[in-house]
Amino acid sequence: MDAFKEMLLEELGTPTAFTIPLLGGIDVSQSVVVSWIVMAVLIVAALCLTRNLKVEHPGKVQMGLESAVQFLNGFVEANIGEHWRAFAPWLGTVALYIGFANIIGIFGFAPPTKDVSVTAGLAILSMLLIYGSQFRYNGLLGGLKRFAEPMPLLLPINLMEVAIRPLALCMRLFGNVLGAFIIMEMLKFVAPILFPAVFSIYFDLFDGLIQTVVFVFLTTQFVGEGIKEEE
Amino acid sequence: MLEFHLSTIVFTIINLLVLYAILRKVLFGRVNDILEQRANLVQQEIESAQQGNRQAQELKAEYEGKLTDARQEAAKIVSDAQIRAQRVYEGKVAEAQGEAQRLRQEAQAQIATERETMLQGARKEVASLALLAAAKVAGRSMDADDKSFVDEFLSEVGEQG
Repeated sequence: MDAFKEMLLEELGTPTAFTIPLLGGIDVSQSVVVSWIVMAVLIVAALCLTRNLKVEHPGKVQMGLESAVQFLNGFVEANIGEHWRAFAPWLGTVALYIGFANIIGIFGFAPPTKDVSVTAGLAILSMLLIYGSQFRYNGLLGGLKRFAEPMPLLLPINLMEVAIRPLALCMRLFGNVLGAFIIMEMLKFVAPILFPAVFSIYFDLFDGLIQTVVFVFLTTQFVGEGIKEEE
Repeated sequence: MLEFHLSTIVFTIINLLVLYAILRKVLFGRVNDILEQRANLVQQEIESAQQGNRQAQELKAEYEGKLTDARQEAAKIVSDAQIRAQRVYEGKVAEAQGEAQRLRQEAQAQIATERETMLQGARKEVASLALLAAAKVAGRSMDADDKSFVDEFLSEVGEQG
């Protein structure tokens, strides 16, 4: 049992892969390295899939790609409104990154999103996006006024949300992926054969994709709240 | 377990920004370009189809007008021809009637002349026979005075006969 505990604790840590000998040593953690792998795969896949796009007579791959991008565009447009064009590629990128990072456990890597620092980075970016766009599209004064909506009484809550929203985004993603990861490690320890494969479908694949959707959906929702005109 | 590493946070932010810059260009930009081009293409096709339709309608109206004109023209030509034919026919008939009239008059004139000639011949014959008969009766030949006398007599008889 002690061995299992030790193994689990080791798995839960965020080991440093290597250190860049600059400015007194910059630590590059394992999750960052796996993130690079995810990025490389995504970029190579994007390059391969978009290599031969045709306006007329698209192939099956292109049609799938187009419907995916159209789905993303439609989703972002429905939630953000007229300024959706600038946000769709960013939200799509975040979705691809988180989605792939969540399910990379299937391929034997530790998901980068089980590192709270990674999800914190994502949440900070979301926060910058939400409040940046709020001021970008409403002006300084209009952006400030948004904090007093729908009624001035909610001003303190809206201000607290500036910190709560990214914290919730960060912790939700981290907690879910970490929980799934711990359960999978335990299952692998208890019953190394067949069992993990079945549960992996839920904990790695399904939960991973759900958390992707939740993260991106909430970010989109918050951005929309910040800039959408009330009808 | 719950330790925040500044370096990892910074790396994650940089990673995401880099990934965004690349995917925006390589994935979303390209696919959206294609979608936009397709939308433009469809728009163009629709517009050109509408234009073609409009042109076809115009041509149709034009041809229909021309066809009506042509029909009227044809009707006019036919009626002209009928009128002319009627006129020619009437002319021919009148000509033929005139001709027939003339022939009949000529024939009547000829008949009359012939009758006159025959009558004169017969009168002469009768006169000479009468003279002959008279000469035989008188036993002498006739001279010119007698002849005129006979003629006078005969013409009197002819007028009565």
